[in-house]
Parts: sequence; C-alpha cells; structure tokens
Amino acid sequence: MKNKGLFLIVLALMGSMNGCAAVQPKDREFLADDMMYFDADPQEAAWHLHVEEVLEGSRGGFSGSGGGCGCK
Amino acid sequence: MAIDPPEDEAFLSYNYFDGGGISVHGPAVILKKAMKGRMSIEAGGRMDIVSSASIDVLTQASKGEAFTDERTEVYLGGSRIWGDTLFSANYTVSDESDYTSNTLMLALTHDFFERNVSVNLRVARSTDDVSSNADPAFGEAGLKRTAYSLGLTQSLSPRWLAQLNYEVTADDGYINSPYRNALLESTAWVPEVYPNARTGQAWVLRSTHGFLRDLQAGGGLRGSVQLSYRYYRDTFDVQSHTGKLFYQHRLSPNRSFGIFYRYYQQTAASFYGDVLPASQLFKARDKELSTFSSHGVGLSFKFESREKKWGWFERPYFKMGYNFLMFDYDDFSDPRTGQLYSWEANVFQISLGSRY
Repeated sequence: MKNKGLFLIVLALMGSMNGCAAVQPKDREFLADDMMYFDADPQEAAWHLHVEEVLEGSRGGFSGSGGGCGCK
Repeated sequence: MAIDPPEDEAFLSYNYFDGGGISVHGPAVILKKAMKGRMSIEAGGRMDIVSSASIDVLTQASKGEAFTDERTEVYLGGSRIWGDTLFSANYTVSDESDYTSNTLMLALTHDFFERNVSVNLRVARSTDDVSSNADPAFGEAGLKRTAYSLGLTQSLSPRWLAQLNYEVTADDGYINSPYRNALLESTAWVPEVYPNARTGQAWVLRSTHGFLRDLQAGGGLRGSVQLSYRYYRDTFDVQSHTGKLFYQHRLSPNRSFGIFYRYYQQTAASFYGDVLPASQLFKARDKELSTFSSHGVGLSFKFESREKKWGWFERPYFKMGYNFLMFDYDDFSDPRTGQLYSWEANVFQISLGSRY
C-alpha cells in the first residue's frame, strides 16, 4: 500500500510538470517521429515480451501479451 | 505519444529462438484496416513450432525425452477514437496441445493538456486450461490471470518523453507445470506444489530522448536513446530489477539501426530450492523462480520507404534483428553434473510490412 501511495505521488508530480514543460503543437514534430516511440513495433515488442515472461519470473509493466507456453 | 489516426497496414514476420535445448520458430501475420480515420479493426495470427530438450525435460520429465509441440495464436481487435480518447479492445486465443488460453483486453488512452500528457488504463483477463501430454489422468486444471495497468506519458521537451507505468497481475488457479518435479534431500523427485494464487506488482519508468541531425544534413532526428527500468515483486517473494538501454540511429531518411543492452536480476521464490526438505509444504524447482541474472544484447536494422511504391503498397518497410541472451543461475544446478547451470540463446526476427 505504501508503494501504491508513492506511485500516486509520482504520478501527481509528473502530471503537474506539464505546466512548466508543455510542448506547443508547432513544436511537436519530433515527438511524432518513430524514433521517439517507446514501442515503435508493437508486434515485435509483444513477441519479445512473451519470450521474456516465459524465461523469467517477472511479468508486467510494459503491457503484456496473452497466451501460455508449456514449452519450458 | 499522443493518439495517432489509424492506418491500413499489413505485417508479416518470422521469429526464431534457439537456446538451452529449446528451439521455437514460426511466422506471424497481422492485418489492420482503418475506417473513416477514427476506427480500425485488426486481426492476426502467430504460430510457434517448439522443439524442447531443455534441462527440465531431460532431467525431470517422466521419460526424459525431447518433445515437439505447436502453439497457434489468433486475435481480433478494434479501436475507436473520440476526440482525445482512444478506446481499444482485442480478444486472443492461444492453443497448444497441453495449454489453451483465452484473453480479453480492454484499454483506454486519453490525452490531456494539449497532448502533453497521456494517461493509459488497461485491463486484461485470461482464462487458461492446463493439461498434461504425459499423464492423461491429470485431466484439466484451470488458471485465471488478470492484469490491471495504469500508465502516464509526459512530454518534457520537444525531444524528450518520460513514461511511468504501474501494473498489477493476479493469477488464481493451477500455476505450476504438470511436468516439473522438485528434488528432495532424500534424492527422490516429487511433483512440484505451488500456492494457487500469485499477485505481482511492476513499476516501470522509461525515457526517450531524441538527437537532432545537423541542418546541413537535412534536419530531423538523427537518433534517440531510450532508458527503461522496472522493479517487480510478487507474493512468491520474487523481486527483480530490469534495466535496458536502447539506441537508435538514422543512417539516412529511410535506413536506421538500433542496438540495445538489457540486464535482468531476480531473487528466488520463498518455496524454491535446488534441493528441498520433504517437510516443506510448497515445493518448486523451476529455474524461472530461482535466483539468477541475465544479460541481453541486440542489433536491428530497418529500411522504410518514404514513397508510395509497388502499386497499392505504401511506405513498405523491412526489418531484421538479432539478440543474444545469457542466463546465469545462482542456486539452480544441473542434476547430471552438480554444477550451477547457465545457458545462452540466439534470437532472430525478420519482418516485412506495408501500409496500403
């Protein structure tokens, strides 16, 4: 619960930053570039996430992929 | 960030994984169709052809023999944009001889403050059925998996984005593998016993920063660097740290490459043991629940045409990537040698896609 509280505080802090760090629409050209995307290729990212979830004991945080795997 | 209007797109890829005695390869195809610039439907499929002679299979399975299997996955999804809000949903069915999974995913993304802040809410619910090819008497065991995630993306400057995600995953039902056994101090192998519920929490912080090209070279972005960190912990007492550094570089307007390094480290589940006392109620000898670390490095290359070409193919692209993974276990040994186990894997991916 303590960590959830901390997360909400960080969220609020990040949200409050928009006032001082706002990017005007005319300056958004670079933000729309593929190179700025966190997952420019969602299909590729989903497959790698699936591989990582099968091989590791952790999940989540990067948006998950469905399906099980009995191949271990 | 910001919600982009959907495009008509077709995507075909082939994936290959080889390491630790496991080989997985197969194709994937995805087709997207945009409607009126605000709606889209999407359908796709994937096949994984699995051949496994992993350490678990060779040392624990009842017959100790390699096996082959196939996994097919199909999904159907759609999205709709209302102003600054994107709603998306998809349904995925995954099927292999001893595991079926049905997943419904619903997601909502909303842009605030002139699209400087984007909030994403996501819920995914899976209903899985587990069976055993080795033991027909096992029947079917059920597992329900739910994931709730909340994400916030903030533009900090015209070339700097930061993202914070929080996700809770909850599993309820048969979590362990029907094939895997635990090793007792008496040297006897017995079936693993797991708790029937597991809840995990993941916190992720990501940042992407773009670099400008010299104006004399045409301006625009020359490259970007992405840093990400994840902290994870769950009710099995597994805790992990994941860090990744990813750099992309544009060689020309239509050619780019990317390189990354990824580090992963986790602690063991409270009931994991390389060798366990018989008196322990829950027993696991799954190396994915042991204490280990892994390193991953990767290289990718992308070519994307900026022009409409080849009839109705528009801005077609080609991408290929190679990853090398290394795993080192601190408390998982190979029963055949008594030595701590480690392994390496090679991962290839090649894809072709186009808007139309």
